[in-house]
Amino acid sequence: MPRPHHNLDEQLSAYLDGELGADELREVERRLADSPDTRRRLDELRGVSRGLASLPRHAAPAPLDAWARATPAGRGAPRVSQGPLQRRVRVLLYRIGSAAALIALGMITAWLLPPRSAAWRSAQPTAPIESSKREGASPPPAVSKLPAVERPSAGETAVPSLTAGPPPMATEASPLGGSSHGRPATEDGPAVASISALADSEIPHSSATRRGSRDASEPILNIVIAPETVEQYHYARNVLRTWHAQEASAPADGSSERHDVDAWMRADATRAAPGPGTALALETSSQRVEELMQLLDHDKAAAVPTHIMMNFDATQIHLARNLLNRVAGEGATAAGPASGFDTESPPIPAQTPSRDGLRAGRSKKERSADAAGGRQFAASPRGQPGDQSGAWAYPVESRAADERSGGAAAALENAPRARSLEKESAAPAPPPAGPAAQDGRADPQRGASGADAADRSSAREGIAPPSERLPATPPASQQALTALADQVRDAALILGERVDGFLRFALSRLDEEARRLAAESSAAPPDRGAAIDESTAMRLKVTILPPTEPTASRPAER
Amino acid sequence: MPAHSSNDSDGALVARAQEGDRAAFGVLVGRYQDRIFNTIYRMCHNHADALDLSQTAFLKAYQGLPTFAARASFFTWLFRIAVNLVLTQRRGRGATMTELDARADGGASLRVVHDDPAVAIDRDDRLGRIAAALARLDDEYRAAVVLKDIEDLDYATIGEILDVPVGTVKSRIHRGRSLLREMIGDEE
Repeated sequence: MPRPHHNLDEQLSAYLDGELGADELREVERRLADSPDTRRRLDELRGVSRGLASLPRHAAPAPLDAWARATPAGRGAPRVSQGPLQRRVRVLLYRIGSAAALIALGMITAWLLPPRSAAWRSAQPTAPIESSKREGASPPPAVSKLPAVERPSAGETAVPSLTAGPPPMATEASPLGGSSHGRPATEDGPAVASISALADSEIPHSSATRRGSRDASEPILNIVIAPETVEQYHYARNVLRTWHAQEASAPADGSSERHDVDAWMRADATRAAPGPGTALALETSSQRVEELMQLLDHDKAAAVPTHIMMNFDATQIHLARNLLNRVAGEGATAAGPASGFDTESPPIPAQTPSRDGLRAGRSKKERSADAAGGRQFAASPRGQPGDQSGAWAYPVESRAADERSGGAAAALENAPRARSLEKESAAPAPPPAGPAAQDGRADPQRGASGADAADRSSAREGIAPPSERLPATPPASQQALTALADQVRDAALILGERVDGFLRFALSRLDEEARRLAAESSAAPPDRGAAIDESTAMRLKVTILPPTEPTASRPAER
Repeated sequence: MPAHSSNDSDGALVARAQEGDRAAFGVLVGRYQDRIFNTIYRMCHNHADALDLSQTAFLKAYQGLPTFAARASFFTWLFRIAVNLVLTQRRGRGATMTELDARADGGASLRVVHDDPAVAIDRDDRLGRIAAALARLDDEYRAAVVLKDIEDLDYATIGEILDVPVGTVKSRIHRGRSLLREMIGDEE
């Protein structure tokens, strides 16, 4: 006997789909034979079902499987034997690498900043500091490899310096075995044709914007994207709209199109306790980077109907510089933050799960050439030149530091560092990280620093850091540095070849800027009295133009 | 590296991929990318998001290979990843992001029309309304009807993908179709 159904209507759909059992089927057929309403209802449901089935199918765009091909050669699929810990480490490293990609954006804006103040230029070393990295048989500390910066004092600023070097990777083909979207790398730069306009060097520091003295719409870095097809255009615009929607509550600067990257980072990262919050910030940032890279995938364009602003403040710029420094300085044996400000970062694992494919970005030979040839970026050590401390503390934004340091020239590098030094004077530092610090081979200048001495003393005594300081990461060894560099490249590849291309582009631009600054610094008279604005918010403008020939690539749809 | 044939079973390809054979996984990607993309697109109604989520789905599948049990269907597992990604994204976003200038699914103006223009327009109009209604459907119903009516999966497989009992699948599909019928009917 058929089982009664309290919802025959529901059975109609199952009947359509052939999912009824024998008893149910008989009952439904009986009802259909007896009831015109049931038959009408069945027709309605059938119509909907057929309508859905007749919807055009959307094939995956060509790049869909690009990631699979982009997986570093030799890396292989994750092994079944890989444990949860390894996977977590991979995730963490992925996030670190992703964040580094964001950092590259900050790098670009940082070094494309217009006319540096005279104080900035005056602080540039007149000659590349390369000799130290050749000293001794043992690998030199990171600071030796990277140009040192003098300790800041009142009215004087220590700024990062760049040494000229050959354009890195500019002529290198895509690590994925091809050019980016058919645009081969050229000798003039990598295949990042979508970035068609860069900052005008005359654009002033955006910090003035916050003070109302500068047009808020004035970009520091322009990225113009010209989609070739209608789909690309819509895609890019949708990404931008997503950004807009997600950042609707962002900074009150009067521009709804402005996206404050600072807020993303600061919101979590500058809280007293680092860790999860910071990881979240990095994750968020990496997501933005991915979106931007996707935008760049849809390159080629012209004018400016839609645009987006991203702000980078000094902390991000430094963070970017540090990470890039470490990538560039992967050959160094000692690392440390190698920066003029403290930065927080998740601990760097001493061992990476895989490094083979990470070398796809550059060959070992090229990396060695970079290391020896002076592709070096700013390196103002934390606290002092030669400081090898492995302490990683997220910067606390402080304008007060500028005031304490003389009010004039503290900002870009000094503000966070001044704050850091202030803390260090009262608090112990985490254990030193670099070999030089570990075996006592410290930079001579370091010995003059009471703060650093206190740091080391405290470290020896194992005094716990104050709550506002972040816990130290494991010592940054050569292995960890290399691992990080590899992981950054790995993450870039995972994110897509465009990220890698973007990083290459950033590096090549940095080198260009380095050469220009080096030339300037040798000619410009010192002017250490000029101020450097600390809140240097660099802005990135992404422009998407409607495709000029929207149907050019779609003749069938013309 | 062994050559891979399109005739290789999913299980064989998965096993090779788990042993580090990336080409094997590439075959799997090629095998399912269109279906995954279309399913995601029909669930999120946004080409850009569909592209992103499809990429992410395959990436997650690749990363999750070590945890994939051979007794399960790779196809089902992959679809589950994709559907969960869409649902998670939509829950996180809290708002629907629809392409402002998206072409109607009929797309009469962008396609070569071979039959009677009037018929084509009617058909395209209807398809456009169905697609629009589908986009407005609640996520749980949309997922069910997409997997059934567009991907033509059986209830048991849909239940595996959505991780719900078959009875729930049946209910969701019917409810989804009924709601679609109401929405389409309201517009007519």
